[in-house]
Amino acid sequence: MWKFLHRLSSLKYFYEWSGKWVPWLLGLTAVLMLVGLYWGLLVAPADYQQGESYRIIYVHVPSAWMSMFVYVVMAGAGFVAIVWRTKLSEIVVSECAIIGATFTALALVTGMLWGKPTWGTYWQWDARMTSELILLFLYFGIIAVHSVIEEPRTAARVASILAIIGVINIPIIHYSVTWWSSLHQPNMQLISKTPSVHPSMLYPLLVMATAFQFYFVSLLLIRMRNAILYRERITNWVKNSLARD
Amino acid sequence: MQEFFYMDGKALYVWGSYGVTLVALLAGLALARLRKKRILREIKESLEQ
Amino acid sequence: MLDVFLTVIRRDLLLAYRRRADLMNPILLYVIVATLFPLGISPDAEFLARLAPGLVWVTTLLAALISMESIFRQDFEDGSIEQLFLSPHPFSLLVLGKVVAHWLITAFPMLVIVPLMAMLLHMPVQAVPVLWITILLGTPILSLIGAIGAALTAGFRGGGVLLGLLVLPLYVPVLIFASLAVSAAADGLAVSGQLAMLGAGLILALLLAPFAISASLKISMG
Repeated sequence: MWKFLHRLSSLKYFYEWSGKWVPWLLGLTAVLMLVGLYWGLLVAPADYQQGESYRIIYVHVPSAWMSMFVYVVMAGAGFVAIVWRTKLSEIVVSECAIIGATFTALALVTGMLWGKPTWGTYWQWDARMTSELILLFLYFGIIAVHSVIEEPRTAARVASILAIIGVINIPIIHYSVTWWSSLHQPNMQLISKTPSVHPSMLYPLLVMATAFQFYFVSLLLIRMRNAILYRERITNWVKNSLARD
Repeated sequence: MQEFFYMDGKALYVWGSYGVTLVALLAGLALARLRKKRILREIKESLEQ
Repeated sequence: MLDVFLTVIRRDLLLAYRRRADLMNPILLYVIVATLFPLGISPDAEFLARLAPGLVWVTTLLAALISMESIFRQDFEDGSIEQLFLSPHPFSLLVLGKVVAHWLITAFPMLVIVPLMAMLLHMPVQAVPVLWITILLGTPILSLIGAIGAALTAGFRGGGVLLGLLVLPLYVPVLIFASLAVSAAADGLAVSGQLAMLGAGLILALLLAPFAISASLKISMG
């Protein structure tokens, strides 16, 4: 196990190893996504309170879950990058930021599109939406680090520290925002945003969530391979593997 | 069928969210692919020199 | 150990004292911003009083942020940060000394000026002591978190704007608890919960931030 992890941390080995996996992961993502869409849009029944508009849940909730999951992955990789200074974990930190920001933005946009028919307004200073917005700002900060600091390894280490601080702060931010919104909106809309989920609605949600997970892993690997190719563009193994193709 | 696209009159919101999500996910893959092509071209050019 | 800690504080305070004219600037900025709000919103006393806790605290966040930018700049330029790093004493302790000194220099004057600002914004009298306590508990957290951001961006061009981008989202909990406490006090409600949260936040920041700051400085020094 350790031997495998050690070999994997070599960029060249990782590049070759991940190349075999990417097509399978992408295929699996596509299959899961199609199954989830079919199930969620056609098979699952309409919600008795919200009617059809609840179906936004199948893209909104997986995005929101992923927005937090990616941040945790990024902070975990950041911890490894700070302690062991492995290049591969630095690349994970750098590549996670933009993917996570995309999921966060998606969660916000779909949340707004869900808010309009449910709350009657696109934006409500609701606790979850507000903390999601702040999460987006945290991602923006980490992306900005990469654009300001040119040296990629330094940028990744700065981003790692930020990701670790962010991961400690996210629960505190979430808690404070929840408290704040509970004080300011005693008469929040009656319809809660997560209807008590019936299994017939839950299973397609889980399928979609899994599809999003696989999408994340696929895109992360693809982006990491690009980053490796770029960083190692002057080395022999990259040139040789190109010559072979 | 028409009912399916109509979505209770919430079509704009439901299809809007699915559309945005799909576009964003596909764009992520497309951009990565574009970047790969650019990097490969750059490396090939440096090899030829 | 405590000696070194105090020496760092004393040195920074002395350096600041030599340029004491600069010290007044953030305070002046603070007061000017406070007068802009009534001009921009409305002079109506009742209306302003409702907004006052948030206005004072948002201004405090921005003032803290602006002051953070300079905390390590001088030390980076003259290389004294490397001297501190190479000294045999724990780096995070020395760095904490620098943050404490910076807080004394920048936030301490705020404690003096804040009652005046509250008055300008027609804040109810019973809320002013609570506002004062939130500033006392909240600004050290802002300094500690801000110092992490300043340490991360100190060595880079364009670090100033980046600092705001990185640090302001992390300031959100302080803003919420502090302004909630002041609003509650203005309404005559209990504030112990909010103040306890601020206190807990301060302890947490004191325990964790010095390590984050020293790790960040190491990265920026290369």
